[in-house]
Amino acid sequence: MPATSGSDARALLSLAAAERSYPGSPPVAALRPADLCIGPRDYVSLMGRSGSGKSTLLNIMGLLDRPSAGSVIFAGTDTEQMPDRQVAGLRAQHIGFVFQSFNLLPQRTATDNVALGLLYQRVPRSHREQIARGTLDRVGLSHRVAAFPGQLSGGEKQRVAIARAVAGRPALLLCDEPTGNLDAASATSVLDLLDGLRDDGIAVVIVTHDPDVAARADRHLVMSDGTVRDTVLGDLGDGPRPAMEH
Amino acid sequence: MLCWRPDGPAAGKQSLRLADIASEAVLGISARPGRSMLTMLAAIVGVGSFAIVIGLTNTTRAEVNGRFNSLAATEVVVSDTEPQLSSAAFPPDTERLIDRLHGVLSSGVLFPVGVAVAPGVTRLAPAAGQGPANSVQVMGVSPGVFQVSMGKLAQGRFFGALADRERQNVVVLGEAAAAQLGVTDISAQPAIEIDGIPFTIVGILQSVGREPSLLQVAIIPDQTALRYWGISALGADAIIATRPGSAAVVASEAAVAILPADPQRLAVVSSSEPFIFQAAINGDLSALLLLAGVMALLMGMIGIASVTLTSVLERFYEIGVRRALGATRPHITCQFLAESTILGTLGGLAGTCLSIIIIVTIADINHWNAVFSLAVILPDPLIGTVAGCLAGIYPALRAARLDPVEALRR
Repeated sequence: MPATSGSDARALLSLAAAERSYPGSPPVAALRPADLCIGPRDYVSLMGRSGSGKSTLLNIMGLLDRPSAGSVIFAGTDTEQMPDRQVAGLRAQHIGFVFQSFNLLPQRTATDNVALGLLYQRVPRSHREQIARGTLDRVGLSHRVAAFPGQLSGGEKQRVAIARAVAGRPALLLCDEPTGNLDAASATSVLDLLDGLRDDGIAVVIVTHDPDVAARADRHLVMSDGTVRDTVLGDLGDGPRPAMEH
Repeated sequence: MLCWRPDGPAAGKQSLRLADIASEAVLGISARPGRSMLTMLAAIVGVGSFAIVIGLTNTTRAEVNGRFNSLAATEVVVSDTEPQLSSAAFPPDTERLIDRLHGVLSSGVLFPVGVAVAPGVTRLAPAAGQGPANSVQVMGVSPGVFQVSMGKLAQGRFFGALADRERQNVVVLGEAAAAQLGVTDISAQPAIEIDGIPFTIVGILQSVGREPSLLQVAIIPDQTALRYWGISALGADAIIATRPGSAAVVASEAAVAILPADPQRLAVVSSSEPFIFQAAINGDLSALLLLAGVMALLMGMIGIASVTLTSVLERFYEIGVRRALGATRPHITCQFLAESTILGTLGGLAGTCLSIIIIVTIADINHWNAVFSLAVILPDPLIGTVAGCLAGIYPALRAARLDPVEALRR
């Protein structure tokens, strides 16, 4: 599929006039036309009030949702006409998700939860377990490999969730308020972990309400009423301006 | 730790290995034991009911067929319709006349003897046992009756053609008649009196394949009976054993062969007709029971579908997570289909075992022989597999159709 003209050839993810509206009278514009690029090693924060469209943007960036208009280009390939099967393949191979509520499967051990992230990459079962244990070790949970989510603290659960998201070596990690349910100490350890991932070459996008969390990012996006704009910390009160291409 | 693959976002082959689908399904099943048990229970009930209905149909059919056995299918009975007439319906050489017919194995004539005095039969001497003098019915039979009835002796012998022709005073007691008369041992050739006439007991009849009434009576040669008491006003029958498939032909020819001058006097009943009727009943019954079995199976499938659908509704967020991790819609479909298929198979196995136990128990209580056909039993677990798979289609498709964003939101 051809790359959308005007997009940065080096961009990992580009949104070209992507918008998302939901039917209604009048239709609800959750995301107004946005142009946005995420580079291979970007560390981006996404802030905004509740209902501003952050999750909608995150879902579109993560190829979980499709824009009503405009296009999403992943690694130079327009995903607009891709069948669901191919889009799911992109998610499996290149995109990791971390959710505020962890979304671990409660009946599975930490290892099994992490290994689940590799299942849809068709990694053989024996390798899945090996990689899952290795990834848990890297997030500091080598001693909790056999624990079930119910036996883990909030911080540990989120680290398992991060391990699940990155076990398949994604290019892009999307985090939806990853510290929203954590105490300060756990939040710090999770954020340190995300910092490390950025250093490993993963592009990280963090949705957060917390300026301190956002401060760790190199780039800051702010959403307001469905409009996304690049900004600098401490300048959140400025009027909206189009998000800049990377 | 990782990097975006420079070779681009090609999705590549995405179908899961069968082993992965199976292991995910097993993990999904074991994660919710209560829900899984409910699904399996629906399969057990469905397949079990189906197997029970089919198994019991076979068992009862075998039982009915056993009672309405092949002996009955090869039997022709000829009856005198005008016993009040002074002439005998069956001439002395009736057996010879009948045995000439093609397909006849053996034949005999029997009739109740009109003994006037009661008690007609008494024990003469205390030859055996101390039972009280009593009365039993007396039956006059031609020697062929013992062969036709497939009689087996407890003691002694049957009387033969010679005794019949010479009108000897010999008697064979049915087992029940012997017990009633207190006769247990005939080694000393005891005698009984019939209407004041002494008869030597030559044998005690233990069992018969046909004409079970013979076990209740004193059996004397028909010619002896005619000599003393004349033609029976109670009528007479000729019983004919035929080869399989010959009963209808023999029945059509018997009356003319026995009494060519007045064949209308004889009524002929062949058991082959009831057999045809029975086959028709069997067919109708089988169809009806099969329908009941299929209905039970359908109910089981609805149960599986219902529980699986509930499971889908409960696992929205898991579906959302899987979709976020890269599961395609077919992956989700396979996951739920595999779960319901495995549960259907396990339920089918358990239902089949349970049905065998129930059939054996019912058969035992009713003193039947439980009949199992491997052709019916072996596919039953497979029926559970198919039922589980079919029942899982709708819930699996419903799960696959879920929008991942919507699923994650719940």
